[in-house]
This record gives sequence, C-alpha cells and structure tokens, in this order.
Amino acid sequence: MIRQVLSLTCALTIGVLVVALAGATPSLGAPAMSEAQQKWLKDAQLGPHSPATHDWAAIEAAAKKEGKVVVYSSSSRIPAAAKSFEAAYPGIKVEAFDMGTVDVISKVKEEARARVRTGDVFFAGDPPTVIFEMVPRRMLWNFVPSELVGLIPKEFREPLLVQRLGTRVIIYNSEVYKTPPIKSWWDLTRPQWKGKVQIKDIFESGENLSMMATFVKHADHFASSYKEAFGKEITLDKDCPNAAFQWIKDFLKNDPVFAGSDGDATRAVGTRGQKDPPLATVDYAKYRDVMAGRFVFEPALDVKPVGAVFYQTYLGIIDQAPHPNAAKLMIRWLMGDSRGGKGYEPFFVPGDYPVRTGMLEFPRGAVPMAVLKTKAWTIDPMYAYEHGARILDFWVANQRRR
Amino acid sequence: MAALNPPWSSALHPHLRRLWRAITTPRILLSLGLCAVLIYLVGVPLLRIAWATVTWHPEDARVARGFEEGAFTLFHWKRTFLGAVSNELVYRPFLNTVVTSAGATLMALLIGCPLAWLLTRTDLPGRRLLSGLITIPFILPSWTIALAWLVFFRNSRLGGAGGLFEYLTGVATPNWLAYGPVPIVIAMGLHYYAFTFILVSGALASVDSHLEESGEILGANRWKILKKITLPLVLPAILSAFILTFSRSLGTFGTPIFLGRPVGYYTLATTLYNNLRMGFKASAYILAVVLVALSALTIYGNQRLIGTRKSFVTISGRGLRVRLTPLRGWRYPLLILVSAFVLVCVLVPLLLLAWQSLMLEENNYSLGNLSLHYWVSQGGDRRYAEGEAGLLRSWLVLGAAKNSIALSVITAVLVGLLGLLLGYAIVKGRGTRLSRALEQIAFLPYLVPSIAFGAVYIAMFASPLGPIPALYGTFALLVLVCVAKNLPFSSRTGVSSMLQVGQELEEAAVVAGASWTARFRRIIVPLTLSGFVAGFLLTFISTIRDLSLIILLVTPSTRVLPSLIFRYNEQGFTQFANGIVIILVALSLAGQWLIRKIGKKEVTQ
Repeated sequence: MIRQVLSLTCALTIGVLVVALAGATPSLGAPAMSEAQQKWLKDAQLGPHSPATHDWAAIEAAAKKEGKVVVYSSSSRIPAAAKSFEAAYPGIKVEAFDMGTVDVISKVKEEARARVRTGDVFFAGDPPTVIFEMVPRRMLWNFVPSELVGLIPKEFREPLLVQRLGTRVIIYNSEVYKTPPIKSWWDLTRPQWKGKVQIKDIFESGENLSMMATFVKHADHFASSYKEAFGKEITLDKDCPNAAFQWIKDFLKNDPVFAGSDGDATRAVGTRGQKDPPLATVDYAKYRDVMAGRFVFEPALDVKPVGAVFYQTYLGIIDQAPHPNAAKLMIRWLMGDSRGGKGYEPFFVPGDYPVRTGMLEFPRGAVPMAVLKTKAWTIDPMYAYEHGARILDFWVANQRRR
Repeated sequence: MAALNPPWSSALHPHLRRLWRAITTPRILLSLGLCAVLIYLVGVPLLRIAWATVTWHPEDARVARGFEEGAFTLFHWKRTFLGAVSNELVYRPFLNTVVTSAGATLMALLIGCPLAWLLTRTDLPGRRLLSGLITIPFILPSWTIALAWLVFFRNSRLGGAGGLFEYLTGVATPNWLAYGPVPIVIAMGLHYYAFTFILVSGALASVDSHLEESGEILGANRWKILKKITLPLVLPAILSAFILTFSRSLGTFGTPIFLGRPVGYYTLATTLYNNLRMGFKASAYILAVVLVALSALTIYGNQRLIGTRKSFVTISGRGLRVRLTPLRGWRYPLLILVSAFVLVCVLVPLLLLAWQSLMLEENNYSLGNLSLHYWVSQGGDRRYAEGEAGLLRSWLVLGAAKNSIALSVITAVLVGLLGLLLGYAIVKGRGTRLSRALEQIAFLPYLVPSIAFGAVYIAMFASPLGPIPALYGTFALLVLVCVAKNLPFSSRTGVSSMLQVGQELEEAAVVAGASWTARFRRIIVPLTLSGFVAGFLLTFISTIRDLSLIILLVTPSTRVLPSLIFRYNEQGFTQFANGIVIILVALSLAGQWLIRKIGKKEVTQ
C-alpha cells in the first residue's frame, strides 16, 4: 500500500506542480509601491504625505470614527497602557497583544506577506531586523508626533521612532549576595557558575543576539577585561577570530541554562528563600518586580568590560493598517510627556530610559542615564545585522547540545 | 443512476457521452470532489514546503548575499546537512528524536500490552472502572505529565523554587532525572501507553478462546499458550501499535520543549520551532521534510515487516467466545499493582498540577500558602504574576477557551462529515482505482508528523494562492490543519461503519425513486450515526488538547488553551499554566459526556 501511496504522491507532484510553482514566489520585498499602498499613505497622511505639524483634533475625530486600534507589543506592560488609553479616549477600543519580540516581528512579516491587514501599531525591539528588514520593505511607517520632533535626537527619530531604550544587564539574587558576586563577564566562564547562568537562547531572542553582536563589535574590550580577570593575556582558539568570540565559546562551554523567557529567568534568580541562586541576563526593567516586592535581585552594573547594553524599542505604524489615526493617537500616548505621563507610566521604571530630552522627573530607584551611559554600550543595528548570522552559527556550533 | 443529460450531449460521440454519464454519477462526482479536497489539503501543501526548501527567502539576507527572492537554490540543503552547524541543526536533533520516540514507544508497549491483556482476558476485579481510568491519559494533552514532572522534580538548575521532591526529601534532583531524555521518554511513554492499550486491547478482545483452548487440550501450560498462541495472534496489532505510536511521537513538541530545553536537549520538533521563530524558514522546512521522510520510512518498514502476517483469521463462523484466564492467587496482588499504577501515573500528576495552581508562593508547600488567588483574583497585585487577573476572570483564558471549544467542535463536525462521505465513496467504489486512490490519499496525513504539518501549512497558506486568499492568522487555518490531520482516522471509521450498511437498502430506495441526496440523508446517515459519533468524539478529544499541530499557526487572536498554557509556562507563570491544564481537562471531559449523551439520544431515536 505504501508503494501505491508513494507512486500516487509522485503523480500528485506532477499534477499540481504548476499550481505550486505559480504561487511559490514570495512577495515580501516591496520595491515598487502598489496603488493600494499609495492610496493608504495619502489617506493616512504618512510617508511622503506627512504634514509638518499634526492637527490632533482632526486625528482624534478620525480615530473616534475608526473606533479601534490593534497593538502588537513585545511588552507585558501593554495592557496597562491600553487601559489608560481607553479611559482617555472613550469610544476607541484597544486590542493590545503582548507577544514577545520574536512573535511580533514574525506576525507583522507574515501578515504583510499574506496581505492580511489587522495590526495597527508595531511596538517591539530587535533593531537589526526592524531597521534592515522591515523598514526598507515598507512593512512599517514612521510616525513622529510633530511636537516631539525638537525633543528627540535624530538617531531616535529616524528611520523609525524609538519609544525607549531597554537595558540588558546581569542580575543576581540580593538576598543571598549582599554585593555583586561577579566583577566581569568573564566570571561567567568560571567553574563556580557552571550551569548557573540563565539566558534566553539567542536562537529565540533577537535582543540577546544583538547583545552578542555588540560584544563582538567591542571585542578589544573583552580582551583587556580578560587580562583583568585572569591576570594574563588571552590566547584565542583557532575558531575564535577575537576575544568576544572566545568569550561566547567559553560561556557556552560553561553550560548556561536556556530560560523560556526573561520573566522565567528573573524568577529563577529573584525568588526568595534560595540557597544557591543562579545569575541571569535579562532586561533591567524587570527591576519593577523588585519594587513591587515580588522578587529580590539587583543588577550588576559594574561588571567589566560593560555594565549594560542599551537596545531600541520601536514604535511604528504597520503598513496599510486599518486604523491609522487611532494608531497615531496611541503612539503619542505611549511616548508620554515630560513627567512621564499616563501613557508612558508603565515604562517609567528603572531600567527603561526615555529618549526624549528634558524629562523633568526620573523613575524612583533608577540609575540616571548620565551615570549608566559611562558603563554601557548601545546596540548598533547595522553591525548586528551584518554579523548576526555568523554569530548565531558560531553559537549553535559551540552549544553543548545533548 | 440519475445522470445529468444536458441537451447538447446527444451531439457528442457515444464514448464521450458514456464518459460524461460515468463522471456525473453521484459516487464518481463525490469521489472526484473528495480527491480534489484531499489534494488541496495534503498534496499541495507538501509540494509547497518541498519547493520552499530549494528557494531563497527574504529572511536569508542574514545568511547569504546577492540572491534573488524565489529563485532556485540548493544553499539551504547544503547548509543544513553539510555546513558548520549541521551537527546541531539536524544530526543531533535527529538522533535525539529517534532515541526519545523509540524509548517512549517501547515504554508505551511495555505498559500498554500487559495492561491490555490483564483488562480484557483475565478475571481481574474492577476491570471496567480500571479500563476507564487507564485510558484517561489519552484524553489529556500529551505534555501533562511533563508539566507535572517539573512540579515534582524541578531543581536549582531552573532556579527559583525547587520541586516537591526536593521539598520532601531534601535531596536535590540530579539533572538527568529532572530534564533531558530520561524524563522525556518517561513522560511521553506515560501518555502514549494509553494509545497502545486501546489498540492492543481491541485486538485481544477479538481473539477467540477456542484457539487458546485447543492449546490447552494439547497440554500446553498457560505461559506457553500466551507465548505460542495469543501473542502471535496479536503480534500484528502490537507491531502496528508500535509504528503508530512511534510515528505519532516523532512530531511531539510540548514534552521535549518543556523537559529538554533546560539542558539544551533538542529534538527535530523543537529545533524546527526555534528555526521558524527566528525566521530561518528554509531550515525549518527542511527539518519538516526530514520528519515526514522519517515517518514515511517507518510506516513503509512496518508494511514490509508485517504486511503478510496481518491476516490471521481470528473470528470464525462459530461466533466469538472469550474465556477469561483465571489469575487465581495473583488476582489481588495484580489489582493492587494496576491500581497503584493508575494512582501514581494518572491521578497524582493531575492532582499535582491542581495543587500547584493553588500555591500562592511557588516554593512554599505549607497549607497556609494555599490560595485561590490565581483562579479568582481581580488582578492588580504586582507581586503575583505581574498583577494579571485570575484564570476565571481573565478575558485571555475565556477567549482561548471559546476558541478551543469552537475549534474542536467545528473540526469534529467537518471531519465526521468528511469521514462519512469518504467512507461512502470508498466502500461504494470498492475495487475501482478511484476508490483505492481515495483511500490512500486519505491516509497521507498520517505520514506527516504534527509539527511538520503546522510548518507545511504556514508555507502553504502564508500568501494568497490563486483564488484562495492567504489564511495566515485566521481561525479557518487552524480548522483546516486539524481537519486534514484527523482525516486518516475518520476515513477509517467512515469505511467501517459504511461497510455495515447493506447494499440492498440503498438499492431499494433507488427502485422507490429516491434521489441520491435523499438516500444519503434518509438511509446512510441515520444508519451510520453511531460511527459518526465515535469519529466525532475521537476528533474532538485529539483536537482540544493538541499543541504540536497548532503551535506554529496560532496568533494572539486565535489563541487556544494549549497555546496559552505554553505561553504562560514560558513566562514562568506556572500556576496559571497548570491551572489551565485543569480547565482543559474539565472541558474535554464535559465535552465528551455531552457528546455521548446527545449521540446516544440521536442513535436510539
């Protein structure tokens, strides 16, 4: 019977190859704008049709008519912002989805490919993918509220508006350790921390991949901090072109634990009553769990060669979104005001840094940007895009998979 | 037959006219229509995915430069099988998949077969009740045990709270016992044994005791009879149970991700998922092709192996008579053993999950820590699950429950109907090439492991295809994939219930001048209703708990309970995840009860 099934499959192959081939060309790239896209841009006053100043009364009226806005967000804090938005703009319903960066990106990409238009606001990180895959392919459109243009540095306005800088840090359990138990990223390669560092597999986390790329960009610093940590010059393995690659290799050799999510890793570190808690690389913004009394941990901001890595979280309007005006209102809402503001409130926490200048207040318990800046690097989207695949391959090849 | 005869047909050549008439008979029309549906649901998607492995995708910009999207290339195959990452990308996951699947299958057989014999052929007390309890895992999600395992055995490697085992004994669970291949095999084995049990006890129930008694008369002892007569008779059933279980476990996603990821133990299914999520589509599709090939090979091997031995005549003209083997002094020891098994492997895991969902602080096993917080709280207290509202108040859970019910009911209805139509077309056309072809294509989905099926459907329905719009992110896509995957079973039940309907009944109706639709509605459907209900039930059960099939296709608006469990588990909200398992089990049981009740009423009417 199987032989028949197989021969049948072959017959089918020939029979429907034509159909398959006809529909097989992917249409993700959009070098030429379609008529529908041009019309949408004109109606929504985006892209080439953006006005110099925004008439918010008109936008609000149009948004009320649209009645709804759909937000794809990487943050579990989006429901709070959605709630305050609905209270501020009665009549506009918010459908806010908290999905994690990887899923937000794949959803927007797949919907563009499928020409399904449901999402309005894109709200997630992963700079290389956003800037080099999605914006050039016109899956996202930039929208900067006109009154903010003077307040936000250009690098955070173009090519896509940045809502805040997130911060990747190492955290430790502060109930067990009164002071940071590590001084360097190289300490994570020591036997003491074998099997005791939680990290989301870079295979599942664009942020961590970009962080590794940033390490590679600053490989020299990893070489000098090796000397600081071990008291001797680093010797590189044959397959490691520089000290950062060597760090990645040694780190993987030390059996890190792949967490399901940042939240999961945070829980692993910060749960009270542990005897031998692990370390983790997560978002500094998880510190809000400490403020709320849920966990006990602190960030190790003085580790060498870098205490924190900043990454951009973007806001954009999804191509041919069905509710562009409500999307604009939402973006303005999420950008907050000079004191934080209702819309920015969920993000007004230690570890998240607003990009607008002239903030009058800072979140309670936060390390000021001016201080952290001196010990942090910022992800370079271009560099991460160009080196990401190579690092990923290196990562996979050196993983102690079982 | 009521063939259509358009006025212009008289102008045609007689051969053509005959052909036209043949084609337009209801059975042929139906068969051709079903063939088209099946090709669309299974054949075309398989081709699309194969094609997608040899073309460039926009996302490939990260691994290669200077290509043209959609153009032909062997780059992905070379990278996957010969590149620097091939070991971790395909070879090791392949090995892990084979090891865990084979281990789980073996374990399922070792548990399922003796249980089947004990509960169908011996005088063990309380067989009815025990049979019911023993098949419970079949209606649970396959990863229930995995979650319960984590509640019990998790250790400091995952940080946070230790498991119950550590709490009770003070001994840290070693990694090999907490995560990786050992628990994966056990967790999967403890699920799939129920499947083996059902298959083997079916075969055992039809073995006539006369055959065994002949052995007894010739002086063989009980073990010899078991070994020389009973076992060989059910060996084909055991072998096919092995193959069916093995090919099922190949595409399992939940258990390996929950228990494998903490120690970097990946199978083909979990590697496929990772690749797809990071946008490495071609690699993911290649892994899907590998899975399909592996599964097809296994089933082919099975056919070669037992092809000739399938046809023992166990049911003779004298009517079936089953004599139960007396267990004598073993009755109560075995009863205790079986009951203990049911308790430890079926009931305790569920209780553990229920208990864990009631624990306010995760690592605190004291009674004072019990709370309904994760079930009924208004939310807002950021100390617990970031202030999310309790399960019974959460619109997320409510929405997912609605979607789950809608998905499984709609799928079951469609699959039941398709099964009936397929059964009719296959049985009425017995012996014709068309009937055979239909039967074989209906079997094809079985060759495609669940997670690969999901990948196939993404490749197929991500962009519009001719007149068919893209189905990405729609509920319809979930329904389609579930319908397609469940067709092999329903076509089997369709065929077997259709075989019971005598030809003469329909012929009489033809003589009386009933149209085809009237015959189908008034004769075929009522007579095969019990078969329809059985097929409906099976599909309902397997759809409502499924994760592997839909994990790649679910989007936030089409979330179902299993995908929500997965998400909460990833986020570390384990109380929520475990609580939803309980909700899911309750829904599944309630659904079955309702279907049985309605089904019975309809059948007796």
